[in-house]
Amino acid sequence: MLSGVFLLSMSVGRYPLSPAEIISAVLQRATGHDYGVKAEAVSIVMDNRFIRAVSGALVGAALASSGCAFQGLFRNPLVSQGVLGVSSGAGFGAALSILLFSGTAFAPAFAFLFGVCAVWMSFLVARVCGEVTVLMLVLGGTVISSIFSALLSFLKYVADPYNQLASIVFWNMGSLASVESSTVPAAYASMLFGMLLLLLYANKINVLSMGDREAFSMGLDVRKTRAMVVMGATFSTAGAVCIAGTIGWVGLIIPHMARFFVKSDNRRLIPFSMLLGAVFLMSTDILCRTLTGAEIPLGIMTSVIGGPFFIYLLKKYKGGGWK
Amino acid sequence: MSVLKVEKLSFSYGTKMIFSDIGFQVRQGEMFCLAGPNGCGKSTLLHCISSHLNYQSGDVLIDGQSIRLHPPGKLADKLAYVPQNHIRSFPYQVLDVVAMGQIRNPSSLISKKEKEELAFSALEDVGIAHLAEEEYTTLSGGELQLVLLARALCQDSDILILDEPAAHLDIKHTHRIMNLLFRFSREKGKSIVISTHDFNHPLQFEDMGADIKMALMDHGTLSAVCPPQALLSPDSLEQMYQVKSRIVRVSDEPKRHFIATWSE
Repeated sequence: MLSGVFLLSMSVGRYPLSPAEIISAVLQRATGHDYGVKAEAVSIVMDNRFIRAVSGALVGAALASSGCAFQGLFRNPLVSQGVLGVSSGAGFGAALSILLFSGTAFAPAFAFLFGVCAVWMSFLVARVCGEVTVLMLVLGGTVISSIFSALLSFLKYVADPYNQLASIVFWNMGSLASVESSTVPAAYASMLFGMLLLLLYANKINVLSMGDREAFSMGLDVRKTRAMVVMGATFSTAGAVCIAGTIGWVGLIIPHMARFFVKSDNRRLIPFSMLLGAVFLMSTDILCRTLTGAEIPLGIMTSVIGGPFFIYLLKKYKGGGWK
Repeated sequence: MSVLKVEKLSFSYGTKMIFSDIGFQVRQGEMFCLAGPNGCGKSTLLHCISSHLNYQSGDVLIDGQSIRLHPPGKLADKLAYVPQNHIRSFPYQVLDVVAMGQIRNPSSLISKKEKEELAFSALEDVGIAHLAEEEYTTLSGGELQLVLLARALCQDSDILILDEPAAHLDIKHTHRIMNLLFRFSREKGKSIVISTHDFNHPLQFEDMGADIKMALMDHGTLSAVCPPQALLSPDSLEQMYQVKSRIVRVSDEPKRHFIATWSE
């Protein structure tokens, strides 16, 4: 299914291509041998759509798996990766760079930096009262998120409305249309590193979701484990945000959909969510570029599809088996 | 096998003293029962012993070494904790929950399959192997308590700390848990520390021939530590609870029962 959607993602668009042409184009670029595909088609497939499809798959997988991790960590099926402020921090960072440099060239780097920074600040706030508990982390995250949201509003307020404001708004709606190949290696590395960490810690996330004290009594180094899980989730989210902007809902609904198939054990849930997230985001991206003449921002589409679908699932599974 | 020793332990939340200067010792295979009015600090004491809370002075020693010097994994080798209230979050399978008792052992040391075998035999020990495949969020309170007990068994530590293990259970599950604890101390040599509000628990353990000591906790201090029969008397209990009570035997049966009657 993943490869099917992947091929579809490569073929649709202003310049339709058949799956056979795509495979030939890939081979042509890879081997240098001429398979009879036009040079411009090879360029579209390899430079544009290939990166776009891979980015879509990775972003979906990264957002979905970090959503799983945060839901397990906070023992709450209704949180997503935004809870510690990574999204609002990244949004603010991107806006700041657009204002400072009048362009989106540095937006990914700033988004990444501020996203990670926001999570770190949430940790600092949580530590104000000594021991870091889950509740204090949520509080810290809420405080930091709202500060960054306010700062983002301020930047929008002072931005030049004809140019910068449009950029900021567009960036914050999320899109795969303008993935810059210069940021791709760093962003991919960040997402892959984060996801690898989450896969390695999947079983420990199960134990963490029993509560800090019980997890400690079972011999888990709670502080270290939690820090590693937050780091994994933050790096995968920040990497995703820096190439695709802020995309909502994927981190919340994909883990829920995955639970209907593989239950709650994070050892199966996290890898399956990655797969499902990749398929979901690539499919949504296909809709974004084919439904209307102009592209619809991805962040809008995920919410428009994700919201009603989530309500449907909640109704069908009566809250998903949680009390 | 381990010996648990609590020495001059004191704990306070900020300026509010919860208990001070508490000491007792639990040998291998011995049971220790902690009783006392609501809010007297029993749970806090058990949290301190399990290293969930940082005590201000005194110390808790296992085999002569402070629990503060044990990293989490090492402490879990020696001591398992069964909570009074477990909040269920995600619908994990019962077998997986029990196998979590082995989380501290890396999979390079013990395979996932071996962990699951350990978990299954722990479920057999507490008599609920038939629930292994169920989602643990669908279980009753009594079944959940048995699952948590199995998880502690799967952890394979010498000392079990249980905070009111029968708090919300019906008589069937209460008896099952108490019988299991008695067996674990006798057959597996586990040291068991429990808190309870029901004086029938220590009395029945004693009548079954358990190696049991108990202590009453009130206003942050601990009474003498001695066998239940030496400690539980209508007078001492009236002083502590302002309630009249009796300890009786029914006709020729040797077992004692604790009865408190409502009266003004």
